[in-house]
Amino acid sequence: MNDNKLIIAGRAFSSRLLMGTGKFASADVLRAALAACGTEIVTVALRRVDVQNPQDSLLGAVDREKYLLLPNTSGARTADEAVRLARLARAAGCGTWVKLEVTPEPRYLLPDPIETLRATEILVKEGFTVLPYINADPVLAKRLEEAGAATVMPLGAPIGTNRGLRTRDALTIIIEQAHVPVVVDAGLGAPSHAAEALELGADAVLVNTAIAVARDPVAMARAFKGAVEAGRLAYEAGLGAAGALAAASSPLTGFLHEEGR
Amino acid sequence: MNAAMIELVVNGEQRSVPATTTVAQLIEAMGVNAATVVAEMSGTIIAPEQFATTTLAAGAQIELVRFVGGG
Repeated sequence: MNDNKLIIAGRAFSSRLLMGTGKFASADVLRAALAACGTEIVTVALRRVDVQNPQDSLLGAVDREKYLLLPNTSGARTADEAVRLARLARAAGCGTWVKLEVTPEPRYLLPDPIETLRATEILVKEGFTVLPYINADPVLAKRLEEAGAATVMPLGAPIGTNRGLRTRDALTIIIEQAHVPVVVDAGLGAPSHAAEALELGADAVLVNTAIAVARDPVAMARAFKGAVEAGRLAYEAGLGAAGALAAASSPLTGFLHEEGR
Repeated sequence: MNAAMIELVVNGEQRSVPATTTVAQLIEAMGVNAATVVAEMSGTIIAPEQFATTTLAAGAQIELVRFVGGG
């Protein structure tokens, strides 16, 4: 048995916190934050080499012996663009895992469900392990699962907004119905949001902005680690039901003010 | 004797290179670390193992991409 580990595509992970590497001020801060949050899966993007600054490379900060590199297809606006990026990432020796991200509209960066499903079908056929980023659409989540996605990654709120689980109700439906791991990805702005996602039964979360833009990213990474562990422990411990009426915690008899006793 | 020059586009910019330039030579001339890069020539992916043996074609659209931070 795998001791309640996170299992994605047959691989077991101890950490339920995936981390993104965008927006960090320096390679040193990124390296320290990765270590502090205990993550095992790290996302990266693919972009043109900057001809003015050709040596600029992130790879040094991300030890590929320690972390599973998960390239994203950010920038893709269509399935074809996403597939092209995925193939480039694989050619770079990044393995076959890909975070499929198809976001045609830059104001909200919401994932296109139709292009995401199309790309998933193509990439699964080509042997990729596909982790698709989606809006919290339970029907789409099942369709992606049927198409062979290794997980589903529904958003809590739009990328970088730090607004938390705005899609909470839909997330609970996805979690209830999924037969693949559910990774809540995007919009988690505070460790409490991450804890909430795990308490709801999500298998993992992916956090980038909230750690990178914190005043102290390394401390924030540590805070998210604790929150994810607490949330999962609470879920496994069995949360008590919520109610509308008070239910006393202390005994209802033997009050000092009782008469006639 | 001057080598014949060919025109191509690299990462969206026009460039002139000698006709026999390989992908590896282009990358080196640009000051890029070949270990961090993957290339695409007119839509076909050139894997790192092929850099030294793939000659650039005249009029080709070359994309040199690498991993950067992202979520």
